[in-house]
Amino acid sequence: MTSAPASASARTVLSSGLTAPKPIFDWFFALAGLSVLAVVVRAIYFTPIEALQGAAQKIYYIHVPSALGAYIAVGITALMSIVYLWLHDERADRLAEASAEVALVFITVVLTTGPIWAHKIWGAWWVWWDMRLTFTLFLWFIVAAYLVLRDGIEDAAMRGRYGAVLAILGALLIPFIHLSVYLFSARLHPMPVVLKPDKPSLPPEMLTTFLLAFVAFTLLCFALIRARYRIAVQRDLVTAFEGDGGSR
Amino acid sequence: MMGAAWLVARKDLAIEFRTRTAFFSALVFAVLALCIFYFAWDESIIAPAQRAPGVLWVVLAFSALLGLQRSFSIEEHDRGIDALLVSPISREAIYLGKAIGNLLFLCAIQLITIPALALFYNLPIGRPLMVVTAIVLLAMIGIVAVGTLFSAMAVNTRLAELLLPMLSLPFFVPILMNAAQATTRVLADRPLAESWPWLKILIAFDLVFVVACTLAFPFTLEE
Amino acid sequence: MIDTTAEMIAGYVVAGLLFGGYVLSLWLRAHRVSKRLDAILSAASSRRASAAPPARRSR
Repeated sequence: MTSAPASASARTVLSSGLTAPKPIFDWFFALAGLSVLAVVVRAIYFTPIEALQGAAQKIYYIHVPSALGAYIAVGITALMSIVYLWLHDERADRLAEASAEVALVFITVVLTTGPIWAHKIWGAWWVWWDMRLTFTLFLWFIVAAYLVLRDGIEDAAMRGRYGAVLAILGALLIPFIHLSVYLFSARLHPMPVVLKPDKPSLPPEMLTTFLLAFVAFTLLCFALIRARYRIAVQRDLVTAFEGDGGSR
Repeated sequence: MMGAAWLVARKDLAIEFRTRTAFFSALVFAVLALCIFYFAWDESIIAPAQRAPGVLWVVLAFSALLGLQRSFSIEEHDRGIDALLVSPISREAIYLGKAIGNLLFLCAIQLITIPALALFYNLPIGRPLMVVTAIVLLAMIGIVAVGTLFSAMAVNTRLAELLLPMLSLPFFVPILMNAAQATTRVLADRPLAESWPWLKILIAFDLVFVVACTLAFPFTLEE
Repeated sequence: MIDTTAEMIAGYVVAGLLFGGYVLSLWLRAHRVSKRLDAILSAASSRRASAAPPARRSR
C-alpha cells in the first residue's frame, strides 16, 4: 500500500521551498504489519494451549500488548501536550493528536477483547472491581473527549492549546481514578472466578510468544502514529495552501 | 487578586439575580430528577433511604452541569468576555471569580435539593444531614474548579453545550465515587472516621484541580 | 480442559476488525489528502510554468 504519489510537477514546486511529503505507508508500516501477523500466526498455531483456560488464554497475546500500546500512545500524547504548551511547536501538537487517535484504537481493542476472555474465564463480561479494566475504561473516555474537543475547533493554535490543557488535566486525573477504583474495590469483593487464572510460571514457548507480541505491538503502535502524523502534516499543508491561495 | 475575583463573581451573580431563569430551571430540574429517581426502583426491594446517596450524587452532577453551562455562555452574547479581558483584572482572577460565582450558584441549588431529598426519601433530619451538606460543599469545589474551565473551553467550540458533559463527567467520576461512598456511610450513622479515606481523596482532588485549573485557564483565552 | 476456541476466535476477529478498520480509515484519509495536495501543487506549478510576468496572485 502506497499513498498516491505527488506528481512530478508538484515535486518541483515542493523542492523549491518545501520538502516533499513523505509517503504515509512505507517500509516501517509494512514491517510492523508483518510482525503483528507473524505473532498472531505463532500465537494461534505454534504456541501450546493453556491447560486450564483452553484456547481463550491466547487472547492474552493481543490483549496485554494492546494495553502496552495504548499506554505508550497515551504517554506520548501527554508528553507532547506539555511540550506544545511550552514551545508552541506545531509538530508536538500533531504528534499528540496522532497518538491520541491511535491510543483510542488500542484501548478499544483492550476493552473488547478483555470481556470476551472474562466472560468465559471469570464468568462475567465486566467486573467493575478489576482495577485495570475500569481504569482503562475511563482512559477511553478521556481520550475520546480529547479527540471530540479537537474536532470541534477550527483554529489550529486554539485547537492545540485546548487539546494540551485537556491532556494535561487528564494526566492529573489518572491517579485519582486509580486511587478511587482501588478504594472502591478494597471492600473485598469476591472475584467471580470460574477458573483461577493463575500462571505460576509460563512455559518458555508462551513466554517467547508474549515477548514477541510486545515487540510487534509496540512497532504497530509507532507505525500507526507515524502514518497518522504524516497525514496530519499533509492535511495542514493543504489547509495552509487553501488559506493562502484564496481560491475558496 | 481575590478582590478582583470577587468583583467578577458579584457581576455574574447580579446578572443571575436579575433574571433568575437559570437558577429556577436548574432547581426545578434537580427536584424533578429526585422525584423521577424515586419511581425508578421498586420500593419493596431497596428502601428509599438506601438509594438516597446515589440519587443525590447523580442529581447533583447533572444539575451542576446545567448551572455550569451558563457560566461562559452569558459572556458570549455581547462578547462580554472581551470586556473582561481588556480590564486590568488578571486572567487567574477572572477564572477564580467565575468559579466563585458558579460555586455560590450551585450551592444555592443544593441548599434546596438536600432538604428536598430528606423530605422525599424520609431521611432523619439531624447531624448526618449536616455532614452530608459539608461533603456536598467539598465535592462542589472540585466540580466547579473543573467545570468552570471546561465551560470556558466548550463555548469556543462548534459543539458548545454538547461538549461540556463529555469533558466534565470523566473528571466528576472520582468526586462522585468518593463522595457517594462517604455519604452512604454518614447516612447509615457510621462514625465519620470510616468515611475519612474517601474524604481525603476528595480534599486532595479539590486542592490539585483548583490550582491546576487556575494555571490552565489563561491558555484557553486568545493570546 | 474447557473448550474456549470460540472465544479465542472472537477475540482475534474483533481485534482484527478494529485494527483493520483503523488502517482502512487511515488509508482513505491518506488517499484523499494527498490527492488534494497534489491538485493544489500542480495548479501552483502550472501557474508558475505559464511564464507570465510575475502575475499578481489571485486573491
